Amino acid sequence: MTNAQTTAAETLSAERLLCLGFAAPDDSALLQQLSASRKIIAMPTSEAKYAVLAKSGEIGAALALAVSHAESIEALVLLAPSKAEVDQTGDGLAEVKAQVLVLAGTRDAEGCEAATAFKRKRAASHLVYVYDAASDMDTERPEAVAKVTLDFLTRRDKFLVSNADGRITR
Amino acid sequence: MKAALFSTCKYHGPALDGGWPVPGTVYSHEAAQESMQLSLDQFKLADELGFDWVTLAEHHFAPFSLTPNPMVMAGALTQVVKRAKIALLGADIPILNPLRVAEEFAMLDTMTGGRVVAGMLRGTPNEYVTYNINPAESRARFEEALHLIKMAWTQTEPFGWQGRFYEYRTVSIWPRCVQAPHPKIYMSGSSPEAGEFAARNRIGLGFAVTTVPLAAKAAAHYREQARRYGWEPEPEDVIYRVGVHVGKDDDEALHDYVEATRGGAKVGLTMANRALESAIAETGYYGRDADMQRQRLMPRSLQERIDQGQILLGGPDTVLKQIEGIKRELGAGVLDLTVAHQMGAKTIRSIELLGEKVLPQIRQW
Repeated sequence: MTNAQTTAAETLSAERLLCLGFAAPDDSALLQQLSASRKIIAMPTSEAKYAVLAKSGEIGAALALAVSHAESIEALVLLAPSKAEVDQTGDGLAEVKAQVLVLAGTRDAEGCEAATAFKRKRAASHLVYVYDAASDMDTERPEAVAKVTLDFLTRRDKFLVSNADGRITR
Repeated sequence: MKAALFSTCKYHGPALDGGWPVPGTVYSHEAAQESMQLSLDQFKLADELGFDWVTLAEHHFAPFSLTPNPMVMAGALTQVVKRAKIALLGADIPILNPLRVAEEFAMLDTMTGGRVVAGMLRGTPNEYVTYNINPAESRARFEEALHLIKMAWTQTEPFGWQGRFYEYRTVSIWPRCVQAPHPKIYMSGSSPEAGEFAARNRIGLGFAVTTVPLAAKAAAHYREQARRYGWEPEPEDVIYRVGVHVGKDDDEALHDYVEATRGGAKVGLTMANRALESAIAETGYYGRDADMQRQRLMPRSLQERIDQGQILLGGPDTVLKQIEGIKRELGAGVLDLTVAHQMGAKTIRSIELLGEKVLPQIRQW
């Protein structure tokens, strides 16, 4: 078994964010928060580097894109993958070059199990539980999902290291 | 029925009386060392006498307890207590780092080969001042911290946590618990909210600083809620903490106890600073039956304490009858017997009488 080493990747990620699986993107509280610092795009592009945010139901599509657009897609954020979606990931997962963050809501037992299975399959991915949320965490706790997503997109693997200002007064 | 010996590891030396926090102006290192050793010796004796558990608790900033971090004391106990379970009732998880708590419990469970009982408490109201945590957040912090601790114990893949109060980017604790999936968890259960949460999460319930009638009411609510969630608590899911002093007969026990408490009944940590307690109450700390929660913390006369099951006092036969009453009214499966007042050889004799005359009987119940 290989050890999941954290790679020191570049810290500035793409500004563009392709969002998959959001039925009404304009009404999404999560996308509204992300759009403050990311340009939300609806279609894949090969003209610039970008990241992908995919909800359950579009996880497979996001992973396929990450393979077919490996030179463009720098990071993947997967929300609440289902067991079926994780089961379907095969050897192609090894071809994904992007760094991956998987989020699972703590009230979503199946999602937690699937996210764990994904983490086992791809040890270098990051698994983060969103407390007190189910599979629709983007509507239940958009601020929490936005916070960890933006931190990951901005700093990627380095998001493991806190950069919070711990001073009480400056 | 099981029996535990509980000690707050009280300080027996010079101290300024009253209030909270208590200044260390006249503190004696020697007395503190002796007090801690005394507790260790008593726990060792309890283990030898067949007590099922020995129990520690977390309290801060007062001579009432020298275990602000009971995990440290429990670490020492792992080398002294060879048979009984070591119960921490508990860690005050809303004021602590939950991952540190998970790690420490896992260490203790490893060191004891799986003899740790994990009490997860909100703590007494004053504890929120200790580490400057807003008491209004107490219950929400408790619930999230407990969820995170259980996840840290059971999840074998490294994970991060995006909570409301806690945020971690990667967690993978070592060592891991011996007991699978984790040690038995208890929480304090005097409020209806606590009973509901414990029932929903299949957690045991402990009652302390209360009366048998109040605990019985809360336990009935817990059992009713548990049935709603499709399970029936076992007797061992309910712990009742009670003060105790046993003498060779009733007269001796009463005489010795009255002598030892001649200075009058001490108020508990919470009511030692009424202004602070009021300020904490205003934050909503006590929940929806605040009046009753505060009522149970009020000081009572010795006779009231005996009548309401706050203290077991008498010869072995009398104490057995008192325990029978608690068992009948409350259905508790674990009695957490508190050595509330240290009387030297008389306290040792009291523990011996419990082990020799009382425990063999209640074990059959």
